[in-house]
Amino acid sequence: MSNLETYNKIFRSMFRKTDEELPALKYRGIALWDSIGHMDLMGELEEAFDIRIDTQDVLDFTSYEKGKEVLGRYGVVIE
Amino acid sequence: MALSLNDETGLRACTGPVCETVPLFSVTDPVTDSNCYLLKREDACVVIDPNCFSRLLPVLREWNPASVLVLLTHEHCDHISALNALRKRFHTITVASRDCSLGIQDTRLNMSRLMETFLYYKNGETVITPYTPFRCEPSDLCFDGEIRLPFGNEQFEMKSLPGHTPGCSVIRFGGRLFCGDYLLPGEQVLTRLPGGSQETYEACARPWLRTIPDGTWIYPGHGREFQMCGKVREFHEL
Repeated sequence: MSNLETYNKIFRSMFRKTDEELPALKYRGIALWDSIGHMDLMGELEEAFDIRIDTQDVLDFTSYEKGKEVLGRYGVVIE
Repeated sequence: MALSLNDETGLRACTGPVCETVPLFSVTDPVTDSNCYLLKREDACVVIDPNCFSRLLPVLREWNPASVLVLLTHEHCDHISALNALRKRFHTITVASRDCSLGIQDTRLNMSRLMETFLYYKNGETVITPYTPFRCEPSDLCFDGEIRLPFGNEQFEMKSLPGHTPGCSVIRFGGRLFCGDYLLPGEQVLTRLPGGSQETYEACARPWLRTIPDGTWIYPGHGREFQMCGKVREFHEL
């Protein structure tokens, strides 16, 4: 499975969205992506990509698209 | 050294059943607001949810117990952050449910890995409070279901009650109930943190919490103690 597939799978599973809906997803844009959902999302991504996301980057992870950039800082290329 | 009682930085004597023979104290962690409860009887003492070592140490130094029985209501870091230091400094026996014992060994399940973020949101999204991730060694005694632990002429009863986390337990002692992060004053139970499950809460925890008799003294993991009553049932939908 590619990094993009893994990334999308986590978003689909956590927020119950389709692939087509993912690019528009933003933190606090839907009920499930609140602060608790955000921490859960970070935990899933850390486990899936075997990284430890710094708190500042956790807070910088404000959307599906921005998240790709954040993960890139840890050598995880999502494309 | 005289311990300061009921001030904002020291040990607080808890309110409770009039007939209770063993006095109960609490210490609140200034960072996370979690409560640790302490009971002493002769040369032994019990610590429920060791949370802030710098606040516990003066108390335990004063009490100078031969052994410390540590009981855990669940695996979250705000309820175990003094466990490693306690184990180094005192002769301890730690008791927890099997899932709690697993959880304290994992920085994701014990939430210490994301605690900075959690505190950031909890404190109004203004300041990042440094919080170092940590893990603990397994508990010395694990149980499934229930366990009874003698303490003088009385006993502690721990009952596994998953939902908030897989490792959640409630602890009964006399007319007192230590409920961890269930029944928090003014806060609905959280089941969306790592390992939590609303389905498990509905199947296991909520039905049991409904059986708590009115008048029972409840000692929550955050906030002040209170007695079970209709208003509490209504708020927590019990």
